[in-house]
Amino acid sequence: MKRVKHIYGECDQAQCKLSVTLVNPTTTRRSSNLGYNAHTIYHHWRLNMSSVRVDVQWSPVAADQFLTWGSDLQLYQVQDIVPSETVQLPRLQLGPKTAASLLSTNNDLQYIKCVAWCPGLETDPSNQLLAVGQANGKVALTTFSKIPDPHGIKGREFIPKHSRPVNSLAWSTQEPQLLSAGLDKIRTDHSVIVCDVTRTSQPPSYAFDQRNSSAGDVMKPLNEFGLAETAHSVAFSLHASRTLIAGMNNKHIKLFDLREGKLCATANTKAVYGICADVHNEHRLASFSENQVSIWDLRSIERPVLYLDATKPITKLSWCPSRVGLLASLSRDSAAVRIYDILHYTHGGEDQEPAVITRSINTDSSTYISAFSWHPTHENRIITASYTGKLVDYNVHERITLNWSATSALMWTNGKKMLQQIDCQHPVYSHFDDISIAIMTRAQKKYGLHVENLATNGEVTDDVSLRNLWTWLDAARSLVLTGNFKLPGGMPYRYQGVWSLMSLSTLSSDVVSRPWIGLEAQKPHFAKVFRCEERSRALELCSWGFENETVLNSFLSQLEATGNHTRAAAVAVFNQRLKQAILILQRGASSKKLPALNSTAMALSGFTEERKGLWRETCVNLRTQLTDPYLRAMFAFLTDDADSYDPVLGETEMAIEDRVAFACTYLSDVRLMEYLEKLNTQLTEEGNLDGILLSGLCSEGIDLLQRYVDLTGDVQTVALVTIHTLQHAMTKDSRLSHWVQSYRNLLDSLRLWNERAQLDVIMNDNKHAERPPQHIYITCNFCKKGISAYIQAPGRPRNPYARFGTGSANKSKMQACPNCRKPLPRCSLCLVHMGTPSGWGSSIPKSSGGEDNAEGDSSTPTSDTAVRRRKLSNFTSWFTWCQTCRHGGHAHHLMEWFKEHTECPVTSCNCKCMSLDTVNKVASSSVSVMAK
Amino acid sequence: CLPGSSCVLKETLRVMFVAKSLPAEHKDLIHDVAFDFYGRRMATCSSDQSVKIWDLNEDGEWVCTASWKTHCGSVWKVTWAHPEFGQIIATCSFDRTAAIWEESVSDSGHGVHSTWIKRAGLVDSRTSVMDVKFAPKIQGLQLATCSAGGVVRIYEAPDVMNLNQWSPQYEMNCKLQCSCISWNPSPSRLHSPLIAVGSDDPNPSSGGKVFIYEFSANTHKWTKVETLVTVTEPVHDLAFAPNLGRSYHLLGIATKDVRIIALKPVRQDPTQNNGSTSSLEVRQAGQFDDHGSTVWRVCWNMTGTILASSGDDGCVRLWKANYLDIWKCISTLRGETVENVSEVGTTGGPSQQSGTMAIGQHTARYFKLAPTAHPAHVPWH
Repeated sequence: MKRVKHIYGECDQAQCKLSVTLVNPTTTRRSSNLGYNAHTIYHHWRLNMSSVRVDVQWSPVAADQFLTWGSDLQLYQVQDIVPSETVQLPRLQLGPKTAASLLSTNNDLQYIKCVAWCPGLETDPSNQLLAVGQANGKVALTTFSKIPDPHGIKGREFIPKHSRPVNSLAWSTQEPQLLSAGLDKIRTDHSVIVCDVTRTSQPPSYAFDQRNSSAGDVMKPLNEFGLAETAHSVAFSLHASRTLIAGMNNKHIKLFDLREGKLCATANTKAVYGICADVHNEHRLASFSENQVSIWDLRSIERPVLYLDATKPITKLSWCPSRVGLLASLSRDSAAVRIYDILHYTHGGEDQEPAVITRSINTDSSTYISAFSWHPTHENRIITASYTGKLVDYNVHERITLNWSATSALMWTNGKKMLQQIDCQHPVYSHFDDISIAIMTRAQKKYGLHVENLATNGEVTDDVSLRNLWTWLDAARSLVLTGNFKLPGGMPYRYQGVWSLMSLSTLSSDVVSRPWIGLEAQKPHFAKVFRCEERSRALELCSWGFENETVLNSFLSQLEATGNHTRAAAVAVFNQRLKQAILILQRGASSKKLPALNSTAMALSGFTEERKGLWRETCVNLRTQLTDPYLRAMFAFLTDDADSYDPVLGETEMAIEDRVAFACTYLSDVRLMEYLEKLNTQLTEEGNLDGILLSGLCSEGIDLLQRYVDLTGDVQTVALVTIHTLQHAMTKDSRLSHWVQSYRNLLDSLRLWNERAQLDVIMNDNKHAERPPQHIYITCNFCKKGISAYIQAPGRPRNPYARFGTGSANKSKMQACPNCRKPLPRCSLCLVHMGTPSGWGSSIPKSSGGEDNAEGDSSTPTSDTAVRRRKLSNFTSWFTWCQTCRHGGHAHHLMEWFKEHTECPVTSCNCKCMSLDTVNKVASSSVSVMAK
Repeated sequence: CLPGSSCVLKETLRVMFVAKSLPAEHKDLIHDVAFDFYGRRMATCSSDQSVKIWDLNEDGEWVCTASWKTHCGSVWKVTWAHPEFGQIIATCSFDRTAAIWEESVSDSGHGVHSTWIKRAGLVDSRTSVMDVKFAPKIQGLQLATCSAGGVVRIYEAPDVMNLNQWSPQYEMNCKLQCSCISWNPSPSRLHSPLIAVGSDDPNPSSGGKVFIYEFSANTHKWTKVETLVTVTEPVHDLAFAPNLGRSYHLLGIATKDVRIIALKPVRQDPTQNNGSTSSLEVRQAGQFDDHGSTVWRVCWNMTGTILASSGDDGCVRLWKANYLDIWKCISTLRGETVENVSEVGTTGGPSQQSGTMAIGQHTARYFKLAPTAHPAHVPWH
C-alpha cells in the first residue's frame, strides 16, 4: 500500500513531468510559467478525452471553491468575470459571469468511488478535510493543503478487512468528526461503519493493518452495522443526533442509533439509493430507486410521504441547501437536471394531490450531464459537469410571475424577494413604440375633443395618415352640414367615399378634350379627359374640384406654401398647365435650395407630343431614377403612349387623393371602376386609413376601420371617428358602440375622467336626443318636496331667477324651502343656511354674476371667461354631504376641513366620512401628483 | 454597403437598461402580482401564506399598506374586483379554498390604516384551488375558480352590497387538472362571455390542454365550445388580451413555448336567434420557443398589443405584432437588466428610402423624418 502523499509540487502522470507549483490565482492571468500551462493543457486533454465520469462538488466552507474528481481530485477557484471578457485556456469558463482556475491537484488516490467534504472541522478553506472512498474499500482522509494540519488527521485512513467498493460516504453535520461509510456486501464483515476521525487506534488492532504497517494512522470504527449486508447509501440524520440512515440490500432503509449501537427503525422500500437529508426540514429525507424518488418523513418512516416520478433511471439526488423544498435529480443519459419544487404535500395525503412543480434545467444541451452540486450558500446556484468535462455554473431561476398595470407599468418578480418594474417613463418604453402610450398621450392632449375644427385633432398626433384622416373628416363633415353637396340623384351627402359614390349607379361619362395651356406649339394640343357628374363629385372629395382657374391656382399656391413644390407641379401638369408647372419647379428650386428641380424644369420644358422623339426616349429611360414620386408620375404621364397611365397610378407614394383624382380624370368608366375597386379592396385589407377616401364612412368604411383596429389596436381613433361622424350608425352596427365603450373604459382606467366626461358631452351633443335623467333629488326636511324641482325644470323658456332680481335678498330666499318656506339645513362648518342656485343663468346681468363670484370663491380670477360668469354659483358654494352620516355643508368648507381631518365636522359624530371612499383617496393623491 | 441601404437598416439595436427594484419582503416565493383597475394598487401573494397590498405614493413609489395571513397554505393567485364594487380582492390557495377580502379603512389618529376583512370563504373545492378571477364588470360581481381536481366553479354575489354571500352558480368539470383561468375581458354585449381554462396535466396524450367555455344568454348555461388540440403540453398560464374593439380575441398561452391564439367569433345573423352557441374561428398567430424551456406566465398590456412572458430561462420577454400582424420578440428583460432588441427599419422597402438619405439613421422606423409631401402610406405609427 502506497502511503498517501500530498503532492503539490509535481504531477506524476506520465504525460506531464513538468514542475507545477501551487497555482496562485492572482498570477495565472499572465502566467508565463510553461509548466503550468502545459499542465493545464494536459488537464484539459484529460478532462475532454477521459470517459471517466467526472463528479463535482462545491466546497462546504469556501464559497468560491469547488472540487472535481474523475481519476484524481482537483480543486478550483471561481472568479467573477465581466461578460465581455474572453477566458483564456488556463482558466475554464463556467458561465457568462464566472470562470474557474485550477488551484491544485491531488492525484495520489486512485479508483475513487466517492468523495465527501467535511463540513466543519477546519475553518481554513485550504485545509479542508476530504474523505475519499475507493474501489478497494479504503477510506482515506486527505486535504489540498501542503501544511500539515494541526490535528494530524490528514493521512489517516480506514481499511476494511476485505476489499470491496465503498458505495457511500457521509459526514455528520452535528458532530463534524463523525464519518460514516457504506460498503458492498461481504459475508464476514459489516457494511456500515462510523468512525471518529479525531481518534486513532494506537496500536492498530486489526489484522489487516499489519499487512501495511507503513500506512498512516488507521481509524478504528466507532460503530459497525450490517453484517453480511450491502449498504447502498448512508446519511446522518439531522433530526436526531447520532442517528445514521442507511439504504440496505435493495429493500430496506434502516435507522441506526449510534449511541446505543443498534437498529432503531426499518422501512421496507426499494428506494435505498442516494439517501439525503433536507437541511431545511430536519424530518425530511429523499432517496431513489430505479426511476422513482421517494420523500420520507423520519417521524413516520414506514411509508414515503410522496413519490416523484422520473422518466429515466436516476443517478444522483440532492436537496438544495439554500432554498426550501427544492430537490434536484439527475437521470442517466440526460442533458438536463430535473428539479422538483416541492411546495406542499399532506401527510398521508389521500385526498389531496401534492403540489410539486417539476422543472428541467438545461445547462448545456449538447451533452449528457454526469454530475451536479448545489452551492451551499448562494441561493439556487448549481454547478454541473458533463461527460465531456465541461463545467457549467448555473443559477436556477425562480419562477417569474408578472403583470401589467393599466398605466403600462410591467412588474415582475426577480428571485424570491424582489420585484422589478419598468413603467412608461422608463427609457426602454420608448423603444416599444406601443399604441398604449400613444393613446394616453393623445388623450391628454385632448385628441378627439376638438369639435369646431376636426382637423385640429389630427394635429395632436404626429401621424401623417391620422392627420389626413381628420382633415378629410373635417372637409366631409362640412359638406354634410352645409347640405350644398348633393350626390347624383339629389340624395344628401352622408360621408360617402369616392368608391361608394361611384358605385351608386353605372357611369356614363363624356369624353372632353382639354387644351394644354401655355404650351408653345404650332397647333393646340388636347388631352382626353372624362367628365360626368359622379366624377366631378369625386374630384371634389379629393379636393380637386377645380371649377375655375382661381380654385386651381389657390390650391397650387397652397401646396407651394407648404413646400410641396413637386406635388404642385405634378397637379399642374395633370391639369394641362405645363408652363405653370415649370414656374413652380423653378420657385421650388430657389426656395428649397434644390437645384435639381431646375434641371427637372428644364427637362419638362422640352415636352413634345412626338411619339418617337429623343426627348421621350430619354425621359422614359431616366424617369425611374428620379427619387420624387410626383416627378416620376409627371414624366410618366407626359410620356404615356397608350393612355394606360399605369405607371402614374402605380406610384403608391403619391397621396391617395391625387391618385384617385387622376384616375377619375383620365380613366375610362370601366377602367376607373376596376381601379377603384382594386384599390379599395387593397387598402381595406391593409387597414390603411387612406382608404376612407374611397370607402367613406359607410358599411365598407366601418370594415376598413375594423381592420385598422385589428392591426394597430388604435381603438381611440376609431371611437373618436364614430363619435364625431358615425353616431347615426351606432344603433345599426354594434361594432361602433363596442369601440366607443372600449375607449371610454380605457379612459376610465387611465383616470382621465375629465376627458371621458368631455367625450360624453360631445356624444350627447351630437345625439340631439333626450337629456339624461336627473340622478339626485334634494327634498326639504319638513315638507318632503323637492327643493330643486322648479329650479331644474327643463326647457323653461325664461330664466327662472329673473323674478328674484339681484342682490342679497335673492340669496336669502334660496336658503329656504321654496314650498314651505322653512329654512334649509345649515352648513356644519360656517353654520349658515345652505342654498345654492344652480344651473345656467343665461340672461343674468354681469353684475349679479360678479357678485356671485365674489361671494363664492375669492380665489377665482375676476377676469374669468363669460361662460364661467354665467354660472349661478361656483362649485365651491354648492352643498355636499356624506352619504353615510348625512352631515354636510358647503363644498369648499368641507374640503378644507377634510384636508386635516378624517372625521365628520359635526360634534359627536364619529363618521369617518373621508376615508369611507377609497376611490376618493386615490383621486386626491392623483391631484397632488398632477400639481407637481 | 452604402449608408441607408438595407443592411444598415436591418442592424439590430441592443440597448441595455436597468429596471427599478422593490424589495417585496415576502418570506417565500411570490406566486402572483395583480394590479387594480387603475394600476395604482398592487397585491402580491406568496407561499408564506400571506398577501401584501401596495399603494403608489405621491412620489410614484410603491408602499406596502397591508400585509396579512390569508390562508393555511401557499396562496397561488390574487385578483382585484372592479372598483365599482369596492376595494375587493380574491385569493386562492393550496388549502382548497378561495377567499374574498374587502378593505376597511380606519383612522387610528396617526393616519389612515387599511385592514382587509375576510368577507367570504369559498370551500366547495376538494382540491387545491389553482386560480381565481373576477368576471368583467359588465357581468356583475362574478368570480370563477378552477381547482387541481379539474372543476371550474363560477360564483356570484347576488347583492353587490353584501359580500358575505356568494352563491355557486355553475360548475364545469374539465376532467383534467386545471392550472389557470381567464375571462374574456370584452366590455361589449357583442361578445358572449367566454372563459378559457388551462390544464397542466403532464400527459400529452390526454389531448388538448386549453378549453374555451361560452355562456349562452338563452339557455343560461356555460358550454364548452372549443378545445385547443394543438396545445398538448401542460399549460401553466393563459390570458385573454383586453379586447379593444378588435374583431377577434387574443389568447396568450404559457406552455412549453409561448402561444398566441386568435379566436374570431363567427358573426351570426342577429335575426336568426335560435339559441345555438356561436362558433369560434381559431387561428394560431404565433408560437415561440425563445425561452428554450417551460414558460410560466403570460400577461397583456392594457391595449392587448404587447404580450409579456416569463420562462425557466429567467427572462421576461415581450412580444408585439407588426403591422403585418406578425408577432416578434421586441425585448428581453433579465434580472435587473432590460435588454431591448429592436430590428430597425425592416418595415420599409427600398423605395421608402428614396425621400431623404437621412433615414439611414436608427430613427428610420418611426418615419418621422420622411418628407411630409407624400408619406400618406404608413399604416403603422
